[in-house]
Amino acid sequence: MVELIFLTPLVAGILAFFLPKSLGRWLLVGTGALHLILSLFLWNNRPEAVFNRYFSVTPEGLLSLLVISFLFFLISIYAVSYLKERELQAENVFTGFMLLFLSTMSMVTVSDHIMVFWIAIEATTLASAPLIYTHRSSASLEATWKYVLICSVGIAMALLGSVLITLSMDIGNVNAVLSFSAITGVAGKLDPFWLKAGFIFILVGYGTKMGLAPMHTWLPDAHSEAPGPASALFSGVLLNCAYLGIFKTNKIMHAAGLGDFSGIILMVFGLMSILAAATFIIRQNEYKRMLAYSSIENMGIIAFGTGIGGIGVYGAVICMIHHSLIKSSLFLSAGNILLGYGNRLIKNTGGLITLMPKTFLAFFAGFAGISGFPPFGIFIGELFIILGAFRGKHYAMAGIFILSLCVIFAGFANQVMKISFDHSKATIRLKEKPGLVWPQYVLLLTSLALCISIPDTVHQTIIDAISAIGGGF
Amino acid sequence: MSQFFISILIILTGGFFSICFARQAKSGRIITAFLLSIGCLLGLINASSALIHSVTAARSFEYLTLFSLSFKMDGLSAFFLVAVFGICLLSSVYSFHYMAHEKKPVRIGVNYFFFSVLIASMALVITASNILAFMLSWEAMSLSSFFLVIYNHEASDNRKAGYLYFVFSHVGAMFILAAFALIYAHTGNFALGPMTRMPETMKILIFLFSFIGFGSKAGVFPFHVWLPFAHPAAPSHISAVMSGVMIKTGIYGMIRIYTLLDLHTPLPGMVMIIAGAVSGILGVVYALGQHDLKRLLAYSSVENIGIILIGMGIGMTGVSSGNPAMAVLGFTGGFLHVLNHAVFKSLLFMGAGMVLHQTGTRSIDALGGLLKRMKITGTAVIIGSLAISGLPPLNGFVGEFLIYLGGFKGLALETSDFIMSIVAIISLAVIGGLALACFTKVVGVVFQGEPRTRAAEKATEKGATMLVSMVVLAAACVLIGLFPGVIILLPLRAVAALGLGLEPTGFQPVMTIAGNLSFAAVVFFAVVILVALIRSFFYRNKPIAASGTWGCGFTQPTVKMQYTGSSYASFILDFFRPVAPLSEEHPAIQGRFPVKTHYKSHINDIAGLHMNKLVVDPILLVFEKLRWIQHGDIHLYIGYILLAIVLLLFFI
Amino acid sequence: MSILQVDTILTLVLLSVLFSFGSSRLPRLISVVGFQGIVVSLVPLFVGHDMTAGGIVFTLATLAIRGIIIPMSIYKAINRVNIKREVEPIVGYHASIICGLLLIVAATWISRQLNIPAIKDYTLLFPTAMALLVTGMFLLMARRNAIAMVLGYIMMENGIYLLGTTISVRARHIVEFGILLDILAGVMIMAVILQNIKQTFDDVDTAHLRSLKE
Repeated sequence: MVELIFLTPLVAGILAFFLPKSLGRWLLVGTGALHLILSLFLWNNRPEAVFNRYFSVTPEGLLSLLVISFLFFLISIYAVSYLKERELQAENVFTGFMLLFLSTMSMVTVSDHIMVFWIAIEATTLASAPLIYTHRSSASLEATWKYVLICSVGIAMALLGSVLITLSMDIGNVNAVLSFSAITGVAGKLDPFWLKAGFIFILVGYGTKMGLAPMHTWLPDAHSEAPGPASALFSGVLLNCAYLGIFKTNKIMHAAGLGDFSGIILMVFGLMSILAAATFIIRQNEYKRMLAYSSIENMGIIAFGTGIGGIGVYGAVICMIHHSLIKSSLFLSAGNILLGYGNRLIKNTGGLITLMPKTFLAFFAGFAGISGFPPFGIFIGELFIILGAFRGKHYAMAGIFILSLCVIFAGFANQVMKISFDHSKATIRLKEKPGLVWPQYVLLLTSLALCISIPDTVHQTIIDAISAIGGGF
Repeated sequence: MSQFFISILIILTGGFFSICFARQAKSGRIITAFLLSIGCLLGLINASSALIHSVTAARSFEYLTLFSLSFKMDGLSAFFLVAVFGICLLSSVYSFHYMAHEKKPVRIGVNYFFFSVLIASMALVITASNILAFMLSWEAMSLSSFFLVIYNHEASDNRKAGYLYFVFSHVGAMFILAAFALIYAHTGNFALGPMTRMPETMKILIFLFSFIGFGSKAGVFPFHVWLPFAHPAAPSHISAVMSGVMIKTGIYGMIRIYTLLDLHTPLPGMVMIIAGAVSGILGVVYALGQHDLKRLLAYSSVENIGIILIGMGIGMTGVSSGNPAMAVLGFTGGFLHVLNHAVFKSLLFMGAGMVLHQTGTRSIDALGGLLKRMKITGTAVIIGSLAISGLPPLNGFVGEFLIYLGGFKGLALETSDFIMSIVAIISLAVIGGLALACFTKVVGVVFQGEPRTRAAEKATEKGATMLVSMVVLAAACVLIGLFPGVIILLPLRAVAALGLGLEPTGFQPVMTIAGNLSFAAVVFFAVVILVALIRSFFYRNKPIAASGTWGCGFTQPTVKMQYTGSSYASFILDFFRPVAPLSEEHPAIQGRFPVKTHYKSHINDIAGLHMNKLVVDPILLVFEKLRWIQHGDIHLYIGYILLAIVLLLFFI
Repeated sequence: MSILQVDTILTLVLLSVLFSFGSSRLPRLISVVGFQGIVVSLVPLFVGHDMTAGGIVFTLATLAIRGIIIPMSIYKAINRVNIKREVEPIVGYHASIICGLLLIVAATWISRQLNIPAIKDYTLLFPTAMALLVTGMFLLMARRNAIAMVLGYIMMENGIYLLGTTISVRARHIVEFGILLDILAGVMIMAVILQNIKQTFDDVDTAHLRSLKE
C-alpha cells in the first residue's frame, strides 16, 4: 500500500515519455493531484507497507512526503503555464523525468532500510540530472556534469557510511533489521568507533546532496541552469530528502549516546554553509544563483538547529517546512522574472513592482519570508534556533550565526531591492497569467497560515519526529 | 485588556478595508482613516484610564500548540500606549487630507494597510510580555515601517533610505534577540519576567545587547545612520509617527529590560548618559547643518532621544547610588520628554508635510515668508519650535527642567556619579542652546522673511483635517507647559510601575516642583498676555505700514539678500568642524564678467562617514577573499569532499 | 576456500591499482577497471559465507554488470565519438605511482590498526578495498579527461562494494542488486553526458567545463 506512493508516479513517468505534449501536461497535474491524495491517505491511516522490511511510514518521512506532494502539485500547475510560455525541445522528456523525480523522492521518504534509502537518494540524482540539461546549452551541460559527478561521489561516501554502520552492528553483535528505526532501537549496543565513522561518511555523503558547505559546490550551478519548476523542486524538496538521511542517522547517534559528537559536527557544517552562502550572496550577479546560495544558507540553518538539539531541532524542522514552501515560491517567481526579462543578470532587471506587479508581490513576500520576517514561518524557526543555541551555551557559534545572518540579509536585501525597484528600460514579454502567480501565492499563504496556527496532527507528527533527539522544551 | 485588543482589531480591520477598497480611492480613504482614528481613540481612552487608575491587566493566547503569546499592560506600557495611540490618532486624521492628492489609488490603500499594521504592532510591542510576542510584533513593526519608508520608491534616495533602514532594523532585531536568548538561556522559559538570580556579568551583557538593539531603533548615536534617511522618505504623517513614537519603542525596550534586570551597578546609568550626551549634541549639530526640512527634523529626533537617554541615565544613576529623589526626577523628566517629544515632533513633521504639500519642496533655502499665507501652520510650527527648544512656558521646558534638577541632585554624589551628573548638565545646556539656534533657523528661514522661489510665494494652506491635527498638538504643547502639575501624573505613574521602590520619598519633591512650575508658567503667561495687551493699547489708532521683510530701506531689495539657512548656521558649525566635517563645492569666479556660479555645502555625519570604512569595507573584503572557493574546477570540488572526510576522521 | 587464493587475486588487484596510477591510455584503464570489477564480484564466493543458488546467480549478475557491461559501455562511448586516448594528468605519472605506493602502504598499516574481526583472516582485503576507493578518488581529482574521471568513480564504487559484501552479510541480495542497478544507471547517464560533452566541445577535457563559477 505504501509503495503506491512512488509506484504511481513511476508508471506515470514512464507513460509520459510516450504521450503527446498536451496529454503529458495533464498527466503531470493529474499525477500531482493523485499523489497529494495518496499522501493525505498515508498521513491519516499510516498503513503498513507490503515490503515492510524496506519501507515504512515514519513521522519525519511523512512530514517530508506531505511537503513534497503539496509542492509538486502546485509546481505542476505552474509548470503547465510555464510550458505554454516557453517551448521545450523535448517536452515529454521533461515531464517524464519530473514524474520520475517525484517517484524517487517519494521513495526516499518512505524508505526506512538504510541501503534502500541510499538507493532512493542515488535514484533522485539520476532522475533529476536530465532536468538540469533541459535547455541543452553548454552551461547546462556543465552544470549537469558537475551535479551528477559530485553528487554521485558524495553519495558513494554515504554508501560507505551505511556499510560502516552495518560493521558497527557486526562488531557489537547486534542482530537487527537494517532499518533506521530498528537500529535506533538497539543503538546502545553498536560499536561507537565505527558508528562515528559511519556517521561522518553519511553526513558528508548526504551533506553533499543537501548542500552543506564545502560540498555544496554543485548546487548553485544546478539550480541556476534548471528551468524554474525544476529548480523549485530541487530547492524545495530534494535538499530535504537528503536532510532526512542525516536526520535519521543523527537519531541513531542520539540513541547511542553520541549526540554531542554528531551535534557539534552538524553545527560546524551548518555554520560553514551559512558563511559560504554569505560569501556569495553579497556580490551576486545572478538572481537564481542568489536564491541557490540562500538555499545553502537555509540548509546550514537547519543543520545548525539539528546540531543544537532541544528547541533547536524543533526550530530546524519548522525551518525545513517553511523553507520548502517559501523557497520554491521564490524559484517560481524567479522563473517568471527570467521569462519576463529574458535575462539572468540582476543588473538587467529592475522595476519589478511596476513591470510585473503580481510577480513582485510573490517575490518580495518570499524574500521577506526567507529573511525571517513574520508572518512567515522561518521567523519562528530561526528564533527557536537562536534561543536554543544560547540555551546550549554555544555562545561563540551563536554569535557567528547571528552575524552571518545579518550579512546575508544585507546582501540579499540589496539585490532584491535592485530587482524590485530600480529603474529599468526592459520590455516585458510575459503576461502574468493566474497559473504563473497563484501557485506562489498559495505556497506563501500556506507558510503564513502555518505560522499562525499549526494543525494538531502536523504538530504531533513534528513532535514524534524530534522526540528521539531531545526535541523537548 | 479586551478593550485594548478590540481597538487593535479595529485598527487592523481598517487596514484590511483599505486593501479591499484600494480601487475606490476616496471611499477607501474615508473608511480607513475613520476606522484607524476610532481604533486609536478607543485605545487611547483605555490606556489613559489604565494609567490613571494604575490597572494592570494581562492576557495570553495559545500559539502553535506548545507556546503562548502573552501581553500585559502595566503603568509603563500604558504610558507609552498613551503616546502611541494619541499621536497615531492625530496622524490618521491628518492623513485623510494629506493623502488626497495621491494619484495612484492602490498605493494609498497599501500605505494605509501598512500604517495600520505599524500602529497595531507598536501597541503590541509595548504590551508584549514574552519573547515570542515581543519579537513577533517587533519584526512586524520593522517590516511595515519599511514599506512605509519606500512608499515613493521611484526616487533612488528613498530606495537607499529604505535599504539602510531595513538592514539596521534587522541587525538591531538580531541584537535584541541575542539579549532575549541570553535571558532564555538562564530562565528556560519565554517569559520576560524579573530575573534577579542571574550573574551580574550576564545582566550587563544583556543590558548592552539590548542597548545596541533598541538603540538602533531609537536612533542613538552611532546607530542612527538610517534615521535621517528614512524619516524624510516616508509621507509626512508617517514621518510624524515614526519620529514621534516609533523610535520611542526603542526607549521603551531599554527601560523594560533595565527594570527586569534589577541591576545594581552604575554602568547602565553611565552608558545612557554618555550615549545621550553624544547623540544629543551631535544630533543637534547635524540638524543645524541640514538643508532639507524633514532631514533636519529627523536629526533633531536623534538629539531628543539623547535628552531622553540623559534623563533615564540620571534616573539609573539615582537608583544605583541610592538617591530616590534624583532617580525620580531623572525618570520622570525622561518619560515626560518622551511624551513631549512625541507631541512637538509630530507637530513639526505635520507642519513640514503641509509645507511640502503646498510648495512641493523640502529644501529650506527654497522657502521663506510662509507665515504670511500659512497662518495656522506657521503659528503651530512656531509653538512647536519654541517647545522643542525647551523654552518656558511650553512643554519641552518642563521635561528638561526636571532632568536638570535630577542632575543637580547628582552633584552631591561621589566620583563617577558626580562626573556623570556634570556631563549630563553641561550637555543638556549645550543641546538646549544649539536647539534654539537650529529652530530659529527653521522658523526664520522658512516661515519668516520673503519667499525665495515662486513655489513658496504661491503657497496657501488647505486641508481641514491637517490643520485640526496641528492645532490640537500645538494646544497640547501649551497646555502641558502651563499645567505640568496635572500632566506630571502620567509619567509618575509610569515611574511607579518601574517597581524600583522609589515611592513615596522620591515622588513628593516632583509633585511640588510641578506645582511650582505650573504657578510660574501661569504667571509668565499672564505677564505675556498683559504685555501684549499693553502693546496693543499703545499702538491703538497708530498707523502700521507693512513692507517687505528685511527691506531695510533699500529701493530694490532682493530676496537673495536674506540670510540663507547655511549662512545662518555656519558660525556654529565652524566650531564643530572636527565632528561635523563640511564638504563644500564652489567653483572659483573667473573672468571679468563671471558667468553663473553656485555654492553647495553638505555636512557629513561622522557615523555615516566611518560606517563604510570601519564596518562595511572590512566585511566585504573578507568575503571577497573567500570567493575563490567557487572556482569552477570540479577536481577541487571533489577534493573538498575528501578533505571534509579526512578532517572529520581525526575527531572520531 | 583458502585464504591464500583470496589474497593472491587481491594482490593482483593491488598491482592493477598501481598500474592505473601510471596508465596514460584510456583503453588500458578501462580494461583495468573491468578486471577489478570481475575480481571484486568474485571475492564474496571465496570469503566463506554460505552460498545459496540465489547467491550464485547474484554473483554472476554482479560479475556481468561490474566486469563487462559497465566497462563495455564506457569503451563504446569512446569508440563512438572518437575521443582522444590520453588521460591528461594534472599530477604526473611518476608522482602518481609514488602516491600509489604510499597509498598501499598506508592502507595496509591502517587496516592493521583497525583490526576488524569479520575479515581479520584476509589480510589484504581491507587494504585492497581502501586502495580502490582512494585510487578512484585520486583519478577523480588528478585527471582532466572526463572519461578517466568516470572510471575513477567506478573504481571507487568497486572499492565500496568489496568492503560492503565482505564485512557484512546483512544486506539482502535484492538490496545489493538495487545498489548495482543504481550504479549502472549512473554510469549510463555519465556516458550520455560524456557524449554530449564531446558533441558540444569536440573534446572531453574538463578544462572546458569551468565556466560556471563566481
